Amino acid sequence: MTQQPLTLEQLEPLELQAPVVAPRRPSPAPTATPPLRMTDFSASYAGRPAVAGVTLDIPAQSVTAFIGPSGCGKSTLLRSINRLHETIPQATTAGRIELHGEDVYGPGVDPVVVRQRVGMVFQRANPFPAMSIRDNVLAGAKLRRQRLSKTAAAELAESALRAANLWDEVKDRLRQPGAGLSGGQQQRLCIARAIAAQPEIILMDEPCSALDPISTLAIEELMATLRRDYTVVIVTHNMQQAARISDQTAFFSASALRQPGRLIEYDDTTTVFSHPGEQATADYIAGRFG
Amino acid sequence: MTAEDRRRPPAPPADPRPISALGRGDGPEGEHGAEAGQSRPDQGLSSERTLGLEQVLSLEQALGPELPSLGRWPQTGPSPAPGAGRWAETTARRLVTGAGGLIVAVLASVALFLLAQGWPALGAGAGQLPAGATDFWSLAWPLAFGSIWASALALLLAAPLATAIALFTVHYLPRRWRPLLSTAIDLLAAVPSVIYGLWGLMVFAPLVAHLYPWLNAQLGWLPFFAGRPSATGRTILTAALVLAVMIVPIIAAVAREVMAQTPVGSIEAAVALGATRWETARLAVLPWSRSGIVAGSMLGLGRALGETMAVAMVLSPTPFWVSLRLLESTNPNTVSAFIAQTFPEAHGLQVNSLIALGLILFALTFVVNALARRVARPRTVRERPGGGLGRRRPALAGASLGSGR
Ligand SMILES: Nc1ncnc2c1ncn2[C@@H]1O[C@H](COP(=O)(O)OP(=O)(O)O)[C@@H](O)[C@H]1O
Ligand SMILES: [Mg+2]
Repeated sequence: MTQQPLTLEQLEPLELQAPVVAPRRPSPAPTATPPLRMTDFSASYAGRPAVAGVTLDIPAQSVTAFIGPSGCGKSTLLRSINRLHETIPQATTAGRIELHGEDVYGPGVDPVVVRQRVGMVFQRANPFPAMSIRDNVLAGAKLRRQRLSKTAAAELAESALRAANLWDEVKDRLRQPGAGLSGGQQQRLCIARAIAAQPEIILMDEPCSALDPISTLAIEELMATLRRDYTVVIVTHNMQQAARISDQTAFFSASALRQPGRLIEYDDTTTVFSHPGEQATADYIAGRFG
Repeated sequence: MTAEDRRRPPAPPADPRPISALGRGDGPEGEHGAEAGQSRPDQGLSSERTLGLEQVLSLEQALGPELPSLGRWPQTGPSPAPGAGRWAETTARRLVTGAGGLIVAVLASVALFLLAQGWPALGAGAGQLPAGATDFWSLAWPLAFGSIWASALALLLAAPLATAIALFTVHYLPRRWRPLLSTAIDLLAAVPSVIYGLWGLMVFAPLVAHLYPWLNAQLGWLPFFAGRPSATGRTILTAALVLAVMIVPIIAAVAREVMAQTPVGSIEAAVALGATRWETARLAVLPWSRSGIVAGSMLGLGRALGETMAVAMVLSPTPFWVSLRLLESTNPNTVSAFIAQTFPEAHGLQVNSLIALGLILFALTFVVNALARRVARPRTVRERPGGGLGRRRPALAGASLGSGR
């Protein structure tokens, strides 16, 4: 069976009818192109590469952890996937990133459409402060659909909040501002917001680094359920966390200060943590640098 | 309540000290230290302090022991250094207190002047008032109406335009062009009103006079545009338009500064959700800057209410006229323009009545200012540890946020 590359036009109408949260995913086929493929990808700030020569495939319905010392370009790489990187003046990219076989940086590709297909959760929770919890959850979904009936909106909000493990805590105060929640709840609200937009992939940039251990645990538990439906890429500084929650681990590092970060090793998480193929990986995991 | 909530460490207690107690200086604070059985090297200084205003300003601290909610001066910590540092501290404190007191005194003196000199006019009768008025209120209320009407129209026209200009400057314009447009707007805000008056009278009014018959034909079914359009164009609408031109840069400048402070976290949240540029403005920039835009608008409204020269030059008023019609050659006058036009010829009680009109204007602007304060209060969004809006990244301009749909 030959796999036709899906175009954006094919993807859009498919999902517009679906009332509840379901990740947009082409029908699984054994030879399917991975949801995310990077080929010799580099990203620079004002001509200075932050991360260079990255080639990797990320399989569907799994959690992939990006680990590595600070400044090796993990965030930059993540922000390149949904074309957020280019919103910084003089930021440039080279190489390819494909979403289900389609070049994200291809000619004529609207970054707005790319961002609707890729959800993102940031290091610091950023709910819209003037909006209620419910409107926060529905913000992305409302951008994509002309009209969302009242019941459809309520269902979508509930299922997204359930998927983000937040429903029970906020179901009685959906009309209250999202900024009134605790840090951990705000972060899960942001995850719910990303889910409600029905992305193909969810990117998370150190989503727990600003949270206390209990909130962190809540989000780690969430990852285990998210993995069933979504393709998740998470940047983390926490080795234990990467080991606990991820299926694959990609280790990035720069050879020297002011050098771009590079992909050193990419494998199953168990392999990376038990038998790393590179000395640098072993040293980093053992806490000898970084 | 979740485990997460319960285990969250309690927030540090809010600092109960009033701002006036935040300076580590001399004076009554030293006395408190002494009351609490602590000797401080600066006790002698407090007896020197005889300035009345200073005492008023430190009343709050003097009441400290009786009102625990006001807090106490901290009794631990390093003692202030003696010598030159102390002298500078005291001098600076007196200078700034004097400056603060001065402005309060000036304001009080203006208010007193208006009240004392304006009062007699309230009882004035026919023959004693300007413009042949029979009693003060029949003179005052059409003018007050004119001021409010012209300013409200100006605000209605200016606020949306200024918001659009600010949004364009901050959110659409490539970063390198931003200073250019900002400077141009700031310059416009500094143009003296007499210049706007000249321009309005000689250029703008004749121009719009050609437009008014058309407006009258198209929208004449609305009471505002009914009647016979003025041939000179010197109508209340023209005056309001000139006022709008004057206050647009003020509102735009305030709105621009507020919009530029939108947290990057909010903007990126919107952009990452797939918002277009306009949707990002709607989701992140405009909600954030709402109160700032309102505050800027109130500032502009205040300016429009008090504007004298431009209105006096542009508007062709009719005494005692009250009408909502915008295009006719009979128009209400404004308080400030009337005062300026009438004052050179005024004598006796007429002067008092003009001062009383000034009092009305004073009260109007005061109300507008109080309203502005109310709406412009700092936003009350609580920032929780670990939550919050994210750091600022001075970026996201002139970059490709997407072409939109
Ligand atoms: N907005 C920016 N402008 C210029 N350089 C940046 C910017 N953001 C990050 N960098 C640089 O890019 C490199 C990679 O940063 P980042 O992707 O944040 O690394 P990581 O997430 O792995 O800590 C660093 O050297 C950093 O200084
Ligand atoms: Mg980072």
